[in-house]
Amino acid sequence: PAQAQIKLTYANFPPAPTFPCVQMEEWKKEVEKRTGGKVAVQTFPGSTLLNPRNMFEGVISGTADIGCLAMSYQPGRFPVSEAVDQPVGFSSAKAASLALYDLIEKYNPKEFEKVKIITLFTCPPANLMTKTSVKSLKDLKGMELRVPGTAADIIKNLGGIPIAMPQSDTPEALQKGVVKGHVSSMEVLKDFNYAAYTANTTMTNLWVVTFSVVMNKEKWDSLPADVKKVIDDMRKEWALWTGNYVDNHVLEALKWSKEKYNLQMFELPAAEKAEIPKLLKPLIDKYVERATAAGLPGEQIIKDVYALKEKYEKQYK
Amino acid sequence: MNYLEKINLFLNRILLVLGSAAVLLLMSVATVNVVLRYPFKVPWRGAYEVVGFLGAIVIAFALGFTQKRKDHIVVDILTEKFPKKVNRILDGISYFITTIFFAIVSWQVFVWGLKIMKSGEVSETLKMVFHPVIFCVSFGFTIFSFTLLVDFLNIFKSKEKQT
Amino acid sequence: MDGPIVGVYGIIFMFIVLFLLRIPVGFTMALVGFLGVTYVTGLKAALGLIGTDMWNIFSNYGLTVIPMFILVGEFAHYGGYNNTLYFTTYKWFGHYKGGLAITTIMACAAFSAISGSNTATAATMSSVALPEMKKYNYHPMLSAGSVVAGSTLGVMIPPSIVLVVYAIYTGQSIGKLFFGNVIPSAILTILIAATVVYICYRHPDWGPKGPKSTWKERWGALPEALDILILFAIIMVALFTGVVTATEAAAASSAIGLIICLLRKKLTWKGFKSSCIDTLRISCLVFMIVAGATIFGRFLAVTRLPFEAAEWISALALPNWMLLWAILLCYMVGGIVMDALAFLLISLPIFYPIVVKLGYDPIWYGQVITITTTMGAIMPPIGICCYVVAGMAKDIPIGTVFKGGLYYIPSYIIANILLMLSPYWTVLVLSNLVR
Ligand code: NA
Ligand code: NA
Repeated sequence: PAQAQIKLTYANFPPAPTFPCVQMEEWKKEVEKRTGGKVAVQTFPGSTLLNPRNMFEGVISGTADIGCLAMSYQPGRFPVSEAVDQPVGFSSAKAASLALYDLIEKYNPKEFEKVKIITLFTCPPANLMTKTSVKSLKDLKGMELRVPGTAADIIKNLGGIPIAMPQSDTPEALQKGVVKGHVSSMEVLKDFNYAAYTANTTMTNLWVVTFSVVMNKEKWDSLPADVKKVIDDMRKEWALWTGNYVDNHVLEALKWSKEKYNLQMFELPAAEKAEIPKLLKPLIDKYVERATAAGLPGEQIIKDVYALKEKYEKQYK
Repeated sequence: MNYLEKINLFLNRILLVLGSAAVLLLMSVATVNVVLRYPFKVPWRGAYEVVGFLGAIVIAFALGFTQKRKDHIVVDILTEKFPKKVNRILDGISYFITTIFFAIVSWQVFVWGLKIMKSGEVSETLKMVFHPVIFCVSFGFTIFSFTLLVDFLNIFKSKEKQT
Repeated sequence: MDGPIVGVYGIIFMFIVLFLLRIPVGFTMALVGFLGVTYVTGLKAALGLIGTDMWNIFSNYGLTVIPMFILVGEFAHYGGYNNTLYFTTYKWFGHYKGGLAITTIMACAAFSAISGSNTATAATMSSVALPEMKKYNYHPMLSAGSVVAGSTLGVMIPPSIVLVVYAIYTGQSIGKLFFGNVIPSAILTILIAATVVYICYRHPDWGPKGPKSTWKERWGALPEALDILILFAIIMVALFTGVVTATEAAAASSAIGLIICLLRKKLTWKGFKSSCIDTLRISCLVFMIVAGATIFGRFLAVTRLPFEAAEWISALALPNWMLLWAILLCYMVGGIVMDALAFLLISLPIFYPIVVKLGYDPIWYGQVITITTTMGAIMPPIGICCYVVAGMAKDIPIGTVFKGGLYYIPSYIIANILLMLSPYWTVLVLSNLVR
């Protein structure tokens, strides 16, 4: 729209085809439409403007007006949302995104006081993707798996050998057998063509990665009331939209992988499924300790996470 | 002035030794991790992070010395045709600007380190505090800026000698 | 003033500062980038940006491959292995007209097989080859030119920083890229050597003949180079079987190189110290250029100039092959405007998706881009290899080095044309061997 009076820059870090960038482009279209062309959003995908490490600071200082950041990858910095990072077993991005949204709404954490939250969402639950099938925890024992550094302990507690390596080294490592598999949300099977190397999945719903989209506070304050209303109204709506989109995207990726690489999907035996929360409980306890030490009601936060998980998993079955 | 130069030289030497140690340590950590992972199957999960941090120290501690040696590449295709006197003035301007600029960089890296320290962020895998490494990088830039300042002051010195 | 035009003015301003103020290349780009971001988004944003960007670049795991590959080259240099390599190839090719220059190219090619960087190759080879050629009255244009062109093989022949950067950004297999590179590297090496022959034909007095060696001397010189070949084999096998990542391969080959040097008692304490020091300063020099280019790139990104330019190019109603050449032309211009490796860092995220969408093979495109990028390293006015050579050979002016390098530009273009004529036989036939 030629007569746009307000220009907003929106920085994102992963490559353009990934879901955080897809939601960004969609949000841009929607905002431009709902404000009747009053607002024009310029997007910068793929770390061209800000990268995951300086995204938050970049938005606070105004390098970009809006930025999307992965909170999970900066441990210690976002202690409240870290509760959602814990292995509580979310079964969908929809439920996890809405739970994250409500949690942040409730506690209004001070780490966000310098920015305006535009929306919050998570990636779909992380599952095992392996070269050889994992049908029980026994199969997992001693298996080298690529995990994000933040989730290494989860795999260790389940008996695997977590290998933290940069995302960029993962395809190489998988291809050559440096690692025997990887653990993340499953859209990567298609998006990064990982199904070519790991044609087995085991459904474990271990963790989710939490994202937030934040806006520079001064910029937000400078916006007219009607634009503010459009953006505010979209906050929760967008958490749901993104969760919904990426959940469907995973289904698509699985379907594609089944057709193209004969992907096999496994479940752990029921007894082991019951065992997993026990194995992972120490990690959640540790989180509660950490949060309490940081002056937060850790116990209550985790209780809320479980309650929200139950609520939204029932609602969006 | 002379003792400023001596202090600078001394500091750059120390950083050079520490930087050399860091580059050798970097080599060893990465190599040992291969050995641990491949034959022994017990990779050290933190190797990637430590290698990155060591790399930062290697480069930051080399900054001042590299400047001292005038290794950084200058495009002098045009300026080499200028009279010597003009070039000295240009060098002076160049040192003056870069001294200030890299002092700002040093300050901003320090500010970034403070932010990381205050926010309680830890490294992804080892969950270790890493702001001291950021402060090291900031210190490298401080010495770099200091070296540029000494170069700047030297321009006046050599002028005095000539006249 | 607003939008992409600010980026254009920024580039012009950067050139003015670069040419008139005697501020080093990397610093200039960082400084102008900083001022540009200040102009477009404000001082607070620019201050935050330089602090975090410097830290991010310095602590980047992927970039640690640079000091590691330089280190192995320095051990080889101070261990005397470069002289050995030079001596061996000289025995074979020294008696031809321009033979020393061809020897230089071959020695560069051999050295490139252990060094991943063209600047490291340029630095070590100018210290080895330039004095030799001076001894035999070679014209500086030929001697410096051959070192400059030869040093570009440093990134062409695996291991290669450009291929590593390409792999990091695109998620392509480094093993595939390295093996797909074998034939293109051979083509480029031959073309560069052929250029030397052509130069000697046009200017017979530039490269006088050297003494002839006997066959016995020639074969006798070979075992000396064996250690280097073993080291090369170890790196290649390690990368091929995927036991290691690129940084680890570089680190391990440094460690093995050091051990070989110590076992053969080739490295003195002084040589060891110098290896470390040279590694530090060359890495620092390269990192500062990468840092400068990154910050300048951020400024260009805020002005949206690269996006608009890339969108403009991709929206051109051209046949695929012309679009590809338009992109390559952009790389050539980028290589003139700024450091080639730095331009690759900026442009890859923009052009790569387009090229893939056009249906070109990513491994093949990696080779084309490597040839184009390494050519940028000798293109005036910002050609990092020329700067390194001119910096090492204080008696040869930078202008002569650049002019000497210009003779070799057609080799890169011809090599790219050959790659385009048959992607299969030049690249895929070997890269497909790697799973
Ligand atoms: Na090489
Ligand atoms: Na260039």
